Formats: sequence, C-alpha cells, structure tokens
Amino acid sequence: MRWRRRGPFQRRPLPDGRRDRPIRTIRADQPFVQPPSVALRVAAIGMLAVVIFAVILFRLWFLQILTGTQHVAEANDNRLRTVKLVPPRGTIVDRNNRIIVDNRAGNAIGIRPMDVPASELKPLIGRLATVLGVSRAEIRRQLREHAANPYDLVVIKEDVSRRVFSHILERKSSFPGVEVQKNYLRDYPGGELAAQLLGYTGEISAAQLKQSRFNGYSAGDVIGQSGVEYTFDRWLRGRDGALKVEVDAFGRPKAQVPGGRLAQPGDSLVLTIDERVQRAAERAVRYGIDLAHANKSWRADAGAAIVMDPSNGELLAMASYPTYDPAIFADGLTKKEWKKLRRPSANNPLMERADQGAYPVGSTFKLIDAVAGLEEGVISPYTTFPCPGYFKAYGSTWRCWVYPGVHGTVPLEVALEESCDVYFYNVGLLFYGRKGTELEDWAKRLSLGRLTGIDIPGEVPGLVPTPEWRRKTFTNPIDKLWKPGNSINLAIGQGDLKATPLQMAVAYAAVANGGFVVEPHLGLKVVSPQGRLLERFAGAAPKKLDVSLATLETVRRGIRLAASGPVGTSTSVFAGFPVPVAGKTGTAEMFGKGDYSWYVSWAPADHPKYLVAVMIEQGGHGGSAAAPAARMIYDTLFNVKGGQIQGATRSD
Amino acid sequence: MDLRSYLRHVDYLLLATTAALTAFGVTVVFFATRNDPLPRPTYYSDYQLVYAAVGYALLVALSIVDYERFRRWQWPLYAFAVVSILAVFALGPVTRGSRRWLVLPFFRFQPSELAIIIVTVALSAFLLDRLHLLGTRRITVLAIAYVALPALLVFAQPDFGTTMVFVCLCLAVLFFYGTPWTHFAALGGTLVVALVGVFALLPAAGVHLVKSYQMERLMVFLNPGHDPSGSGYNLAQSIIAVGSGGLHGRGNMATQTTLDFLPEHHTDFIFAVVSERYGFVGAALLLALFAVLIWRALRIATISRDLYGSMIAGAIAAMFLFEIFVNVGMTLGIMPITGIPLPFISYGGAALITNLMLIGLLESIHIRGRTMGVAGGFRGNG
Repeated sequence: MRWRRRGPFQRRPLPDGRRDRPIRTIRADQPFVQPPSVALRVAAIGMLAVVIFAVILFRLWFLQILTGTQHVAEANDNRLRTVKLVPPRGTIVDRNNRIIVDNRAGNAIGIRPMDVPASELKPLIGRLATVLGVSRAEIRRQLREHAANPYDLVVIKEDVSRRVFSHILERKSSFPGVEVQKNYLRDYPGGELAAQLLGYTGEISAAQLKQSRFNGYSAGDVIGQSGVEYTFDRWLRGRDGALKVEVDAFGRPKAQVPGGRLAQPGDSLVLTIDERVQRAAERAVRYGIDLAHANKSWRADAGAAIVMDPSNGELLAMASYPTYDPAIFADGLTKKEWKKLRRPSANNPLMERADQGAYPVGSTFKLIDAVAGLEEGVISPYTTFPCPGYFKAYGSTWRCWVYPGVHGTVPLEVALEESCDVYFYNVGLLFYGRKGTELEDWAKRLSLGRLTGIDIPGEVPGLVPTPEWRRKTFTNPIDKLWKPGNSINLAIGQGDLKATPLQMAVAYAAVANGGFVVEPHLGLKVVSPQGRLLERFAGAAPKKLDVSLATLETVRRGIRLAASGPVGTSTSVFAGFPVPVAGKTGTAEMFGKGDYSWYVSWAPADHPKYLVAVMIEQGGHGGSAAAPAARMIYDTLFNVKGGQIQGATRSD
Repeated sequence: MDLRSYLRHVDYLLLATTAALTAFGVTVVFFATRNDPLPRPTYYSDYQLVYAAVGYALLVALSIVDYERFRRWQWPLYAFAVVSILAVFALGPVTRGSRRWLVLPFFRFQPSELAIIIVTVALSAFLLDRLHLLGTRRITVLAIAYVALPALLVFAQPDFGTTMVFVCLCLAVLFFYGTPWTHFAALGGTLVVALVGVFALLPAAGVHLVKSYQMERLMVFLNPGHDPSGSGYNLAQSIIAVGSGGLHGRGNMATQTTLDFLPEHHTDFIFAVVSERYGFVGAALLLALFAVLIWRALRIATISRDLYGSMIAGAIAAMFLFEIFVNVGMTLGIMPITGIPLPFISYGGAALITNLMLIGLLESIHIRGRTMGVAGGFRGNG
C-alpha cells in the first residue's frame, strides 16, 4: 500500500524567509547551506554541550583529584572490617597442678539479621525458640540490642548440644540467617568444686567499662566477674587477636587481608588451693550441717570452712555452702537460671560465706580477750575468777553456758579450755572499767572489723563495736552510750560484733604463728601457656604484732587444752587423733535464729602447719557441728583414715 | 542509491565513536558485574553483546532507508507507538512495580523505547507539515499535545526517566523547528511553576503526584548529607566510588564496585564504575567519546539535505546530551537521581538498541545529505 504523499512544499506558501530545504550551493563537498536559523540553533546546543561537559569535568576533577585520597579512605572504611579473635582463657589449676577450670570448644548459635528475609523473621524466631529453649521475647531482645549492626552475628545461645546443632544444620532452609560459631567455654571438671572462690565470667558492663581497672577493655569483652576470675583477669584473658577481613556491602567476608594479629591464649593461674583439701572442706561443711540436723538444729542450712597455712596466709581450701554449678554461667546465664539462684529458698549460693558472711563469733572471741587481757595487764596468766554459773553486774545477770552447773574458780588456761563465760565477763568488765578501747583495738589488730586483703572481690569488713561507733550509729541517747553490758557481751563475741570466718582464721593464725598477721590469698603464681613462671604472689608481708611470747604461749596452751584437756570443749572430737590439735569452739547467738556453730583451730598444736576454721550457720553448739567438721578436714590433711568422729555432747 | 555511493558517504567517525562507546560499555558491564552472584561472570556482558549485535543490524537497516519515508508514515508510526504503549498496560508483566515490557516470542519488547525514535521522526514530520504555522502559539501547543499523549502513558507505567526524555525531545524538536525564543521562555516559566506545584504546593495540600521515593531523591539532591544509610546511600556510595578512582583509577581494586557497595552498578550508576576503575583519565576519555558523538550529530544537523533531517539530528544530539548530563550528573551529585541510563554504556537491551537505531537515523541523514547533489535525487530510492 502506498501512502498518499503529503507535503507542504508544493501547495502551501511558506512564511517569509523560510524554506524546508537548504540553499543549494555549487560546491561538491558542501552541497547545502542551512538557513541561518538552524545554524544558530545548532550553535546554541553546541555551546550548551560545552558548558555541560565543562561542569562535569570540573566536578570529576574536584572529586577525583582534589578530594580523591579522602574518598579512597572512605572506600577502605567500607570494605575493611576487623574481626576480634578471642583466645581461650587461661586455665586455673590447684597448687599441685590439678586442673580446676579448663576450656572446651563449644558451638554458639546466632542469627545474622540481614540474611533473614523480613517475612521469615517471625516464624524463624518461633522455630529457634523451640529448638534452643530460649524464649521468643529473649531472642527479640537480643536482636533489638544489636539492631545497629544487622550484618553482625547476634549470638542467641552460647552453647548448644550436638543434637540441636545438627538439627539446625540439617534443616538449613528452615533456619535462614542462622549460623554456628565456634567458641571457647569455661569447663569445670570438678563440678561445683570451689565455685564461689573461682567466680564466673560474663560480658563487661557499661559501668565497668568506665572504671580505671578496665582501661584498655572494650565493649563485648568477656571478663571475670567475681572470684579469682575477676582478680586475675589480666593474666587469664590472654590477648585478643585481630583478623582483618574484606567484606562486601552486606558484611559478608570475602577475603582475608594481611595485617592481622594472632590471639594469645591466657596464662594459667596456679591457686594456693589444694583440690583434695578443698573437696574435703566442702564435704566437711555438708557433714557439719548433717550433724547439726542430727542434733535437732533443724535450721542449719549453710556454712563455710577455711584451711590456711598460718605462716603465710596461703589458703588450701575455702568452702562455702550452699553452692552452685558454675557451668551455668559458662554458656550464658538464662533468666530462669538467674531467678533460681536468687530465690530465697536457694539461700544465696553465690555468696562466698568464708569472707563475705559476717556473723557473731561467740566464744571463739575469747582468744582475743586473752591476748588483749594479758598484753594490757588486765589479767595475768594466774588471775582466777570464780564461776558460780552466772555473773552479776550493774543489777543484771549473765549466764555461763554451763548454767545451772558451775566451773568453779579457774585460771585463764582452764577458762579457755572449758570456755568459761563468767571468766571473760569479768575480763570484759575490767576493760569497761578502763574506759578505753584496748579490747576493741586488739580485735582490730587481729584483723577483725577490717578487710583481711584476700585477693577476691566482695570481702566484708564485719564490725567491731566501739563507743565511738555507738555514738555515730544510734540516734536514741540511751543507745548512743557505751554501757558495761556492751563490753561484757563483746567479751564473749556477742552483741554487735560481727566477723567473717576468714578474719577469725587470721586472728588465730597470728597466735599460732608467733604474732604475725598474715594476708590470706588464693593466687599462688601465674604461668605462661609455655610453662614459664610469670608472676608469684605472696600476699602482703605478714605484720608483726607487738605481743609478748609469754602471752602467746599462755593462750596457745589454753586453746590446745580446749581440744585435748580433760575438760576441753572439743576434746572428745579429737579423741584418738594422732596429731595434737589446738582449737576453740564457739556458739554464737543471733536474735531470731538458731545458734551459729564455730570452730577455729590449728594443728599440729606446737608447730602449726594448718589452720582450720569452720562455721555452720544455725548449726547449734560449736562442739557438735563445727568441731566434728573440722576433724573431718584434719583427717584428710593428716591422712587419718576411719577415725570415728565423736561430737561433743554439749559445749560452747 | 548504489552500494559504493552508500559506503562513500557513511560518517565513519560517528560509526567509530559509536563502536568505541559500545565496546567500552560491554567491557565496563563485564567488570561491573563479574563479582555479582551470577551463573557465569560474563552473564550480563554476553547479553549486552547480543543486544549490540541486534542494534548494529538495525543501525545498518535504518541508515539504508531514506528517512523521508518516516515523514510519510508519520501517522501509522505514531498510532503504533501509542497502541503498543497501551498494550503494555493490558498485557505487560509487572517488574519492580511498573509495567514496561511486552513479552513476545523470542524477545521482550519495550514500546516506550521504540516510541522515542517514533516520536522524534513523527513529531518532526507533524511540524514540517504545518510549516506555515511556524511562530504561532498554536503549533507549539499542538506539538506539546502530540507528545503529551505517549509521554503521559509512559509516565503512568510508571517510568519517570523515559517521560523526561520525551519532554526533552519535544523541546529539542521545537527548538530546531525554529520556535521563537519567547515560547521557550514561557515554557520554562510554566515548567518551574509546575515543578514547584508538584513538589512543594500539592504535597502540602495532600495531593501526591510524585512517589515518595522520588521526593526522597529530591531531598537527597538538595541536601547531599541527607540519610546516608537510607535514601542517600546510593549517592554517598557513588561519590565515594568516583572519588576513590583518583587520576588513574583503582583497576581490579575497585572495591566499591566489586564488593557491591555501589548499587545499580551495571545500570544507572555505571559511570561511577568507569570513574572508580579507570579514574579521571578513563572518565575523561569516555566523556571525550560522548563529545565527539554530539559534535557529529550536530554537524549532521547542519549538512542535512532538508529541515526534516536537521530537526531529527538536532533532536537526537540534544537528547544524548540530556541523557549524559542527567546520568553523569546524578552519579557526581550535581543532578537529582532519576532512572535515566547512560547511553551505550549502561546495561540494558532496549536502550542500547534504541540508541544504535538513532545512530542509524543519523547515518541515513548524513548519507542523504552527502549524496543528493551527486547521485541523483533527494528522493533517494524511495
């Protein structure tokens, strides 16, 4: 089909000066010349093109030549990521190199949010919650907290079993964006052994990051949060490595870039603890509680035991009951586990009662009375007081524990042996008469009422009441006064006095070792992974007390008699024990609670090698719960087998 | 017209420039996409080569045909363009929220791209047929109405970039037609008022003619630091890519491209790939090729046999200039982000084939202009 030709040039006249065809010239190479209007407009577009290209080139020159270096840096910022390589934490071993805390390889499960299609997120959280046993709300909270970096792996669970791990890997398509990451987890071959003193690890908190102690740490670091894990974190943590990786726009690693650094594994910590003794001490505390129950002290539910070298403060064991399994912290504590630990019925298992629990100390305080009395000249070794079973002063009556029996007139050593309260009521009253604070000062010199300096955090100072303390603490004018009764109660470790088992251990050690106040410690040395000794810890140098040998000798004899004399409060407990023991019982009353059972002792009596202190909360008499528990520890220390342990029937 | 005369009068410089641009484009598409997750590294460049082959066949075909024919076929061509765009609404699949394609046996066909060529030749013919109206307001309004029909249809697909090209074409054809300067001043004023109305006044009144993403892009353009991880991300990454290229380029270390930081790196932001990989030297070389292209197109406008050819060639030159400026300008942060590809370089079959066909038209005009006096007859073989 032919289209009808239609053109204006034959039929219609053109406006002035316009042609639809160019002017023909006679030149062969340039047969036409366009009318001036077209040439003008071509020139205009040409000019516009020149301007546009100039603008583009200027802009290119500015971006590439003038500010190029800065943009190269920006491009490198885009592509280079530093990945932290966390080394295995140092192991913790006992003094005989038996492993107490180790590491094991674990599998962490995490989500890389950007790899999860938006529509898949909700069902994915549901599936993960079911498989991992973590609540949906918890997963959502984790994702929210890390929302700023959707390319980074958000760890949902630190440690999953092989079963769960392979379940997820086999169903990769049901778990988009879910990845497995290898990590190191704390492993405790001894289970609950020494849980409180070892402490646990956890992510550094925002508040901790601000402390000067944590200079050089960064957010996300896992640090020791308590116990020796906290104190020796600098050595245990090793040094983080760095991996430089090139990532694409979605944060996916593409290649490794030179310039990284290897992670250095943490150094090993050698403890002063002897695993065998620690185990015995923990068993002994449980045994003490069982004994208390057998003696109808039903409320006995907790306790602590300490084994220390009295010459240098090295702690061979430090047990606290109730305890917990530190492994629950290793794989990230769940809310449920935390709630369980904090339940009142759990009775605060995280607390290291040996240095964090302050209690009235009962008759174990009498050692301090004796030292103070002799040194201050209040009494002499030959001073006697009559004990009719009670003590009357200022119109009040205090009973001796033996009431309605009597102790008769006894000298100091015998008063210590049979723990005569009336003798020490008299000492207390004499100190009251001096209107000074000599007794309180001696208690403080022997480490009561202040920190012993043990190398784990959380230690409490306890309290030695003084007239000044009363003035400051109370508002009622009568309570503000220091009364004779305060001195008398203090003398038998009652009233406002509070001390930790560790403080009592240090006080007894000072008498046992010839007048040196030692600093108890748990860290012995730090050894590099290659076995090189890096650091040795001895605690602060023992402080020599200004105390006469005669005084110490007298007190030591009294304490020894208490464990071996004919009327000693714990003689029956150590009957037949091959090593001479010196030890003092204590039965501390606490308002509204059962009596606290104490026993502080050392052995061998004349050349002390071990100091053993046991405290059973609400365990009843010192001789019936704490002392047999201590005997059990001595059995282990001196390898005594099969000894029948007798609880003292009634004592103080 | 015999073959010898045809071969003697081809504009070889234009052809060589076009070939160089096409080769450059295929190369850059290859380097831009070889790190992408694809069945094979040459996936996109292979396709681009196939499109180029089709495009060159059509280029040759169009250069042989006397463009005068299109003047006679004005109305059927115009009708075909409008109907095919309408067909997209009925038959086209939805990709990325818009309908632009018709799926035919063996290939997909994008009517709006073909309409660019058709509107150029048809509008020029429409205006030439009414040369007696030149200088009147009526013909300017008629021309705008003539383009508005396909342009609005394309806008409704929606395809904002191609709509802009139609606006540019309309103005360019009117410009080379000889429309008085005063009309352009009036049109410019109207455009400013319209833009202010669409982007500022109407949204305030609650009427949204532009999509929210377009509004965001404008915000980013007016305020370059705006939302660098969200709507400003593309621009920020593009500027880093261009800037990091430096003088000589980063070669295989062009990480903005290879590691996917630069989005749309084989389509809209391909100029950033060129700048990063080949540096200022490479980018300037590419711009020089474009400059030669525009120079040849404008030169063809001046040596055309008739005003019809001048108008077509001038409009093509203006359109290439517009596309280059808008695309490169957006990459460099001196123009707002619109979906206009870089001619001959960006990946995309429809655009590449259309551009090669436009070069074919230019060659046709060149050959006719050269041969008229020598080989007998402005009617050519028609």
